[in-house]
Formats: sequence, structure tokens, C-alpha cells
Amino acid sequence: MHTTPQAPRSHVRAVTGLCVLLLIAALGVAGCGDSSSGPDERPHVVATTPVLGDLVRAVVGDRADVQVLMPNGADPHEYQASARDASDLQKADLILQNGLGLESGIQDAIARAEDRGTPTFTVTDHVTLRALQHDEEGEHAEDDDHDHGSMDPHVWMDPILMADMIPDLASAITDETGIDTAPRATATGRRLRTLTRELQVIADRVPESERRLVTGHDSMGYFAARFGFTIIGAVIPSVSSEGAASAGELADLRDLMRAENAHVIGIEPATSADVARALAGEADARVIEMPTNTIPDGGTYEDMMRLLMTRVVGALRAG
Amino acid sequence: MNVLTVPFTDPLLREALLAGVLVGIAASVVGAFVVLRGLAFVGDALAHGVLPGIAAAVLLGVSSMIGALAGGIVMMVGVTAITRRTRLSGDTAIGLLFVGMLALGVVITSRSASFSGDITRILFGDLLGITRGDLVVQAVATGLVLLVAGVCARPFLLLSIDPDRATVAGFPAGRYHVIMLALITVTVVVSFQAVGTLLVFGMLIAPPATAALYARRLPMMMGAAAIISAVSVWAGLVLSFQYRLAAGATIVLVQVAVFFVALLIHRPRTAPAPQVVG
Repeated sequence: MHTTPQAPRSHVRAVTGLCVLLLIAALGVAGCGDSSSGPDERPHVVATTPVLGDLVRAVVGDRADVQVLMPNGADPHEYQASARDASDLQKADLILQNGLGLESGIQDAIARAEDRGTPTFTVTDHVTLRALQHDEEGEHAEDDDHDHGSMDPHVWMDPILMADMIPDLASAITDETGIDTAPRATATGRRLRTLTRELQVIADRVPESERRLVTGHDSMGYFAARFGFTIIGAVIPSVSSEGAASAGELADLRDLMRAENAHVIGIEPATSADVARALAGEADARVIEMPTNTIPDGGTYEDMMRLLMTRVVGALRAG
Repeated sequence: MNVLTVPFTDPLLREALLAGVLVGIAASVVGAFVVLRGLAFVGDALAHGVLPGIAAAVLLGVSSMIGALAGGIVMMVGVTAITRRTRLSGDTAIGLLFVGMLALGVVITSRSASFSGDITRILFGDLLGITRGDLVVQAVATGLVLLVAGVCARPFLLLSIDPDRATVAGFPAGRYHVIMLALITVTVVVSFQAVGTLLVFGMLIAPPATAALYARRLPMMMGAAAIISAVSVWAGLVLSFQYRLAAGATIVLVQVAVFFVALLIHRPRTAPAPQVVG
């Protein structure tokens, strides 16, 4: 290959210069980033979602450094790991994850940390799971023996399930960090059971036959089963918020809402509010925002559940 | 300098860096031809063509790489058939094929109640979840791409300048066009796990385009692109570490930013791309 005679040196210099520029830019930008706070002597627990972070804090108090990866209110199905997340996961004394594909964007990073020996506590391994109820599930029933895809990952929507797994979580924390968690774990479990009774009282303000809801995606199954609600359908009929609605399913859902006299659609940040509003308009329903993964400012998981229940019941009674 | 090296005291991030650099090298070499031949749109189409293949593979429970390869081959055959037969502008038909494959991917995933968030993973990859096994596949594929590109460098270059003369010189244009499409497909298929189908396109185009602003000979353009790509991977990971940003997207953002910075400071002198004389 003959090329037009040029001074190749100048090109070498240009590319080198570009790389040096890039280095300096990265150094400058990275240099003014948040320098990590000094070494924390306490054991380090990394939780994936804000809800799990709140529960683990309730159990360990301030005796461990609890880090939550996902921002409050972020859609756990869509969160992508940063290099720092991956590094933190690997250095953690314990990782607390929900499991069942909820954290799909970081599950590989968690798996790598596990490969390297970071102990991981998966909440959905420690509770009684609920299968998804979809018509098409039957068709695939034979081939998903080991694939947990047909189980619903949104277990934190039932506070009793959380209370049930707290003892296992507490002993995992004690095993990995040496922190004595027993007194706080007992207290937390008790509080969650009291919370459940309290929520049931609120739910009972509406007759069970009228506790009918349409949700954003299939996220409220455990909640419904615990508190006697009937989920008429979901705008996005998938456990993942990343599914997409089909026109036929939406029309069916509208007809079903009319037939069943359901007039509340609870949506979450990931649901298309436009689709929900259009559906609400046609089925004469109202749209409410449900905090299913957003802990209120300065509040706790328990506050979130109370807010969720009051909002749902308030909308049902108003309609 | 601490901030630039500290992330890589972690073996996990060293592996991510290695995976990113391997993808970067393969993508730079193939991308150099893509940029020279003006195949950017075809490259984009091939990158997205693998989506329905991966989606179907996940649903059927087979390896997503096999699915990606199947999707890539379908796309390749489609693109080749279109460029040969249609009188329409190739861009139009390829664009339709590309959108069709993308839509098919979403339709397949929407049929599954348990398809938890995998679309995000397919589009953006998971550089931080790369296993040792993935690294080996990546290294072998990068070696293979370098080998084929080296052997076919001359016909590829002739093809990018004058297809007729390539045929006269004993390199049938059609055959080498298909080989080039295959190289792009292989690069996309082995790279999507690391950076995803959406972002691999950025790695394919951005560093070679940056290099093309300055380099005038093909080997130099490839080398420069590979170096720019590798440095970008490293800088992207540092930024991702420091600011908690999604790793794959940050890397590609750095590569694209480098291109535009280079474009701004570049003073065009003569022809912007390598030229062959005689």
C-alpha cells in the first residue's frame, strides 16, 4: 500500500496528544469527585434496594455500615451497575439482594462478587413464594422447573413475609459480621407484625368485595393476597416493568374493569402514566401513584407501607 | 494519580478493563473499515439485528451468544440481499430491516411474563458481570478478527475505494463485502455481553472516526483507534467508579466525546481518509 507522502510523525503526535488530553481530562474530572469517606471500621453490608437497606438497618442499627446501591424510587428492573458498585459488592461483608431477577441489571455483578467469596443473602430464598397467575403460564409450565421466572419477586409488599425472613437475615448477619443482632431482630419482627395488623385495619375500611385494583405491572400480588385485595389486571402484564402493553390486552383490561366495577389504577414510576390515564378515562377510573419501592423522605419501610395502604384505601373509598 | 489507578486494585475491575480493551481492539480494527467504507448504518443495523436472536435464545433457554449469532446471520443475509437486488436506496431497505428486527426483539420479550429486565441488559450489556470464560471467548474472537482483517486488509481497502478495481485485481467485491459484514457481525456478537448491542455500535464507529481525522494510513488508523478505545475504556471505568455511573454507557460516552473534541481541534489539511495511490 502506497500512500500520499505525509509527515507521519505529526499524526503520531496528534493521537498521542489526544490520549494525553483524555488522560488529563479524566484525571481532572475524576479528581474533583467525591473522595470516599475515611475507612469505616464497622462491618460493611450492601443492600440492593432502599427497602432492603431499611430492613437491614433496622436489624443492625448503627453497628454496621449499610450501603444501598439503588437510589430511592429507582426502578430495580432497570438499574445499571457502576464500577464503584461492582467494587463495593465485592468488598462487602454481606450482600443483601431480593433475587428472582428483580435486580437484573446488576445480577451478573453480584454473581461475580459471589464467585469471589462475598456472602450473599437472597431474600426470596427465605420466604414462601407466590406463583404468578397468568393464563399463558400453563403452556410453559413444564420447561421452567429451575427457572424461577414464574415466581413473583415483589415479596416486600407483604410485611409478614419480611417478618418471617428477619430471623434468617439476622443469623446471616451475625455469622458474617459477628454483630449480635438477636434483640433488634426480635423487635423488628414484632414491629412488622404490628404493622401488618395496622394495615389490615385500614384495608378493612373497604368491604373485601370492593377491594379491586388495577396495577402498573404485576407488583402487588403479595400485598393483595395478604390484605384481601383482588388485582383485576395490570397495565403492563409482566413482573418486569420492562414488558410492554399490547393493544388487545389493554382493551380486555378495560372491559374487565367495567365488568368488575374496578375504578382505581395504581401506577408506579415505571408505568406509562399516559397509558394508565387513557385506560382510566375509558373505564371511568382514577389513577393513583403507589409507592411500592420509594421510601418517604426521612421515613422507613413501615412508613412506605402505611402510605401505600392509605392511598389505595383512600382512592377506593373516594370512588 | 491515585484516583486513576485505585479502581483497578480490584481484580473485578481489572477484568472489566481487560474485557473492555479486547472489545475496543476488535471494534477498532473492524470499525476502521466500516468508517472508510461508509458502512456505519449497516453496522448499526447489524448491531441491532442480534436483538431478536438474543431475546428468543433467552426464552428458549439456550446460550444468548448462539441466539445473537443466529440473529446476526439473518440480518447479514438480509442486508446482502437488499444491497444486491433492490433498486431502492439501500439505506431505506436496511433501515426497515433494522427497525423490524428491533421491534421483533421487543415483541418477543413482551410475550414473556418472566422476562425480567433483560432488554436493558441486551442493549447496554454488563461489563462488570464479565466472567473469566467470557474473557477467553473475547480474547479468541479478538485474535480471529485481527487475523481475518490482516489477511483481507488489501481487498477491503480496494473495496472501500473502487469496487470495480478490486474485482479486476482478483478480489471479487461481493465476496469480500460478505466477509466484511461477517467480521462486523462476529464483533457485535462477542461484544454485546460486555457493552450491549446499542453501545457496541459506538465502539465500532467512534474511535476509528476519531483516528480517521488524523491518521492517513490504514494500519495507523487502526492502531490509533485501538489506543484511543483502550484509553477511553479505562477513563470511562474511572469515571464510572468515581461518580457511580453506569459503566458501559460511560465508556461509550467518553469515546463519543473524544471524537467531538478531536473534531473541534482538528485542522483539516488534505483528504480526511487514507488514500491509495497506484
